[in-house]
Amino acid sequence: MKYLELLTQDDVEEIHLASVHVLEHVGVKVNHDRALKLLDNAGASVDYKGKIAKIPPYLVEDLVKYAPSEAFHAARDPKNDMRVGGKRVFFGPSNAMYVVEGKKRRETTKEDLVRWTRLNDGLENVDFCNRLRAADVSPVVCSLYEFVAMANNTTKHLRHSLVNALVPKYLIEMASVLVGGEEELRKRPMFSFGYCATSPLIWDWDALENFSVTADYNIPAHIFSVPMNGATSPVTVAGTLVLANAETLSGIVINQLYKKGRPCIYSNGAPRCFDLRTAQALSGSPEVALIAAASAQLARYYGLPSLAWMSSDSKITDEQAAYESSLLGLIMSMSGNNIVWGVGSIESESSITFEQAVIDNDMIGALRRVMRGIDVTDDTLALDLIKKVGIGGSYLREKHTIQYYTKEVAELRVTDRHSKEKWDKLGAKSMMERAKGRVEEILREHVPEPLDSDIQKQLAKIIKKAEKELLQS
Amino acid sequence: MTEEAVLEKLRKAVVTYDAEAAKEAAKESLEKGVDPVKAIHEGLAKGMEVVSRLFENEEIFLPHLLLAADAMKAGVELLTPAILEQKKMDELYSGTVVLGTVQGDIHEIGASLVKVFLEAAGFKVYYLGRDIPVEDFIARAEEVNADIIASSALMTSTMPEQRKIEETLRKRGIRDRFITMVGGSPVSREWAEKISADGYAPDAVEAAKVAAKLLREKEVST
Repeated sequence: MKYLELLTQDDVEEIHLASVHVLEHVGVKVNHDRALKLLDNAGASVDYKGKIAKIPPYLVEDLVKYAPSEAFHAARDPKNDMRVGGKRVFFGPSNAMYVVEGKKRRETTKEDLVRWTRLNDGLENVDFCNRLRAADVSPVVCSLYEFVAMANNTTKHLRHSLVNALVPKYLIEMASVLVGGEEELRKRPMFSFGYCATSPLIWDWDALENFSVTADYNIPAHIFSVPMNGATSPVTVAGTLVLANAETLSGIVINQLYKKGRPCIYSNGAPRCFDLRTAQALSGSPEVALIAAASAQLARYYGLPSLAWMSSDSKITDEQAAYESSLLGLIMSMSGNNIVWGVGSIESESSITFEQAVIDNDMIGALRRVMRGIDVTDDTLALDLIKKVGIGGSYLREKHTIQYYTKEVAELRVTDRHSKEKWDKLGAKSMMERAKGRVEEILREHVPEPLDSDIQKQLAKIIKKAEKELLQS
Repeated sequence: MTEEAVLEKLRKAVVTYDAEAAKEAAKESLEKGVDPVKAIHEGLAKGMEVVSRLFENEEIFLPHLLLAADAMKAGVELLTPAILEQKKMDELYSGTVVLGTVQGDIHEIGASLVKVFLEAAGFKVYYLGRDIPVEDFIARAEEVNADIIASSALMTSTMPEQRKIEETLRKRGIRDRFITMVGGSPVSREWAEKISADGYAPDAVEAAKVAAKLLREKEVST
């Protein structure tokens, strides 16, 4: 399949040149002393007082080359390992703070994350898991509880969000327990995480400290620029791309200075278009799709893996959520973003619904079929068969039909394909009702491969230790 | 080999969509002196029931169902001469259906599927094909003493032909001799009621069930 590309090669060059111009002449604020020193030593011009680094184009271009084109994301079950890069596209759930049930929204808890992880473990088109904020635990250590909730309930890769710079050392310890040691963790990074720049052109201490302390362990870093065009970046899509590219590149440069060869994911694929009428930062708008598509193209230009976030601005799972997620999912994946997450995501990336995840899972099934494209071989052209069946015959009894049906036609789970009469008989259920049914079914019947009880105990011990060290001081 | 083993072989041939195996098992059952009607009812047809259920549950696809029906048919063909010899033909079928797509309509995938399901349900089916005039439906039904006349229409423009079947039967005073059934994608339960057809089914699986039900009801009432 060919990529959906919205920019010409000349456009890409223009954006690149403008971004390196910004980094050279405007610079970027780097709130991290180690990073400032490394930039200084490498040849950037650093104003230590203002914490501004102006990075020359050669340095950007040189350092970006150290970031690998493929970022390995390991999973408890090696079958679920992800080699993020090339033409591969992986789909995953959204990270969120709220869960919406009916029309009511509430903060997510540890227990929600357990159920959310089990659901995603059971969805066939979801390739990894992602964290929900455990609001019922102290924010100092919630990242640790979240890690355990995920690790216990899925054999897929764990995508995490680190809320502070105190937790990484415990997470590294936990992940090492999962794989059998720190050295093994370097080979099999069981979790990944990301941070975004603060637009325009600032890297905060938390983000950089977390990147810094995990760099040695090969933990994949998802590097985001999340501008709000019209507010924290130019209102034009092109101008936003220039700024976002400069921010993301500077994040990758700093990470390569921390550790050459550290796997980095390039992402301007989760921008927030600022709606100047409602003063809301949107996620489901067509401009988001444009920026995310261009972001994948820019990532390819640099030889980097890319990521985008499909979401919706709807507050519930409804028609708006379905169409916005589908539009974004289609454009984000067809343009070649290697990770497209946001399964279940609504309310401008803030909330999830379980039903939305089940619906998105079906949508991804359809998307994957489209992306697999059209297989043209002697056998699929079926000329001999067309001659054999002739005029007015039927292909239903042909071996070729059975042989290729499951390969050629996507099978979906909650999408209704029955006759009206059968649909009536099955209870005349809407998509939402069917999705609810499947959520209940998965949570009732799907049992994730349990984590070794000894490992569970060790993880619990690490949390106890962290609580003692972090909460009592 | 016991009788049960032969019957199991017949069932297995159908559920594995294997016409050659069905023929072989049919031959074996004749050699072992198994009652050929039993070989069909307890052997091949039981296999077909399994396959039909899998299809209804959406566990297998339409081509599998058709291939299973082909396997069953291959077995039945070998067993039929013995049944004729033993004069047990009336035991073989639960009823007789004349089936076709109405005049002016050249679609027949749907009707041909109905045929498969009716046969699997134990009906003798005279399948007339497509573009069939009302006269031909009735003439054949009288000729074979059919229980059911089933017509399919795939276009709104050809649906009135189904009404014509009803009217013609009434005009000749033979409406009560036959059960009439209608189907086809534009055809609805409401249409069936409007033209006073006896039965309607939205799809092939349902058609076989409705046919069996209508026949039972008629046998009870007469």
